[in-house]
Amino acid sequence: MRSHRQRIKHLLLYAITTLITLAVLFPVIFGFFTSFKPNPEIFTYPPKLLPQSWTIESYTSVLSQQRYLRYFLNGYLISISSTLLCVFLGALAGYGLSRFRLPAKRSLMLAILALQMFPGAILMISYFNLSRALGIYDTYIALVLVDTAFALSLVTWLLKSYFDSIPVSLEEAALVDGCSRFRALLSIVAPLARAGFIGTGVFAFIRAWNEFMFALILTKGPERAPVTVGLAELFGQYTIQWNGVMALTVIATFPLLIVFIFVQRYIIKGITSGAVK
Amino acid sequence: MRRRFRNRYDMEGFVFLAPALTLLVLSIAFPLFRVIQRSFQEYSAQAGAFQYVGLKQYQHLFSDPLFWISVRNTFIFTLGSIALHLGFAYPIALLLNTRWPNIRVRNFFRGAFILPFLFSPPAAALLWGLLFRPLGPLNYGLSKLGVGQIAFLGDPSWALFSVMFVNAWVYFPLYMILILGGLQSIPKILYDAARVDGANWIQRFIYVTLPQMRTLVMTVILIDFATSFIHFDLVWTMTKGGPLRSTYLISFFLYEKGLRDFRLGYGSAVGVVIALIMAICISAYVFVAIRREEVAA
Repeated sequence: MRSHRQRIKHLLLYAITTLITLAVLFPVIFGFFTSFKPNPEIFTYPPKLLPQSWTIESYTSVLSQQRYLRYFLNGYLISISSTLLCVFLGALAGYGLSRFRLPAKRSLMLAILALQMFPGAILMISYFNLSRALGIYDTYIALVLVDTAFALSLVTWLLKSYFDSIPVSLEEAALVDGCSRFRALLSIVAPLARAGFIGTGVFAFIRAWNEFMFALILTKGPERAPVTVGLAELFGQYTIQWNGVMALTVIATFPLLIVFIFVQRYIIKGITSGAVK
Repeated sequence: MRRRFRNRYDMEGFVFLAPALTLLVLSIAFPLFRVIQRSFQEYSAQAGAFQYVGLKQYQHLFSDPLFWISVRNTFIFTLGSIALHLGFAYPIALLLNTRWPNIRVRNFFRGAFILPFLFSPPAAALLWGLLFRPLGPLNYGLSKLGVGQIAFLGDPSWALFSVMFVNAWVYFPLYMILILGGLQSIPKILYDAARVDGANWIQRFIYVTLPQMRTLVMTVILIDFATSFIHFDLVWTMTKGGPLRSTYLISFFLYEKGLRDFRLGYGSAVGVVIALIMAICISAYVFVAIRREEVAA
């Protein structure tokens, strides 16, 4: 009797959650199927969810255009460089904050946290001028630096709390034996903090890959601009080739999906531990 | 003295901090200083250089009607986004936090709900642009319900709500994860005690969950305010501020004055005023929140 009620309850839970999930993901589902529709089917009315004849021609046509391949190459180069730089700098700073007694450490930590709420967009005019003055306007360097700067404070904060959870005694033994601090970080702490690096790295990658505003301001055209700029151009064009556009959206989001599936738990752990503390 | 100082602090730590701090100073502190400085200047074609003009840019700004339109829209957008984010994120987090017979199924659903967050703002704009089309699926659904067509992005009375809704869709997963983390850290013993006292699930929610979640929800609102107030990406892709300035946000005003019209001094003043408005709102909010906390305690 009791298990019967229990089963109905569970069934209800599954049913309700499935319905909500489908509603929330409807834009994704509809867009995904649209990318497999042939041209004549895009504007059929009433609109159909599934293509009547499936085709991958929108994918092949998008991927054969030099312009879009360039956007993807730029996106990868910028995001990967900024992720590596960000985790490297964040690991050094996080280690410094975790292992040393520093003057004004509390204020420093608070400043780093407060930086999370800093409205970076108000610096757009400065960035534009500075990047021209330094000769890095419309280069990868400008975007890598900006992306790194804005992800760095959270990455530092998270890695600091990650290092805090690793016992100091391991390093102390090595330090006594004459190992340098840097060496201790590299060969003792870093291997133990791998999960922390993965979590923060994915965070930095997603941020950089999806960044749009600074990419719009600091580049001029497809030579150096990442995918987001390419996608934004398509919106509001007079005739939108929706199947091609959706294919591009799917391709642009696919790398994040793969990364996300593999490291989901690190990200969730990273975000929650950083917020609650 | 010097020796004692050395004993108490380990200055070697700054060697590790130096690279990150250098980057932050060069890429945030210095540009910020330049923006503040520029906001008191104006380019003079005669002198061929920037000259100090005192508060002229600010005076000009406060008498610009477009500035006030953007402020109004930004406040509506920000408060609306906060409400929608919480309205999406809280119930779904509660649902994911109930007792699931199978934890892997729950994790699958959690992953599915996070999916919207993976789409970049322009990508999300395109997904919704497809749905918002005059003859698209949303309008088809409305026609089935007997409601007339809605120009979601073309009608000035709908556009701001539409972009707010899409913004809610993209970013609610972030807040959902934060809230879920908070729910999971509430000690189970509190619920057991409430159960022993005969509290039903509504009472347990009101008397255990809500008060335990207060600080976290306050933090979520703060983060959301700081993010949404300066929002640019998604709405810029979808409407560029139109139709009839109905979705014209303060960040667009900043962008158009500063970089499109290239009025660097004026644009910088806009940037400074945005930072000031945010600082005032956040301080007021934190002040009220802390006082409330004291009264409650």
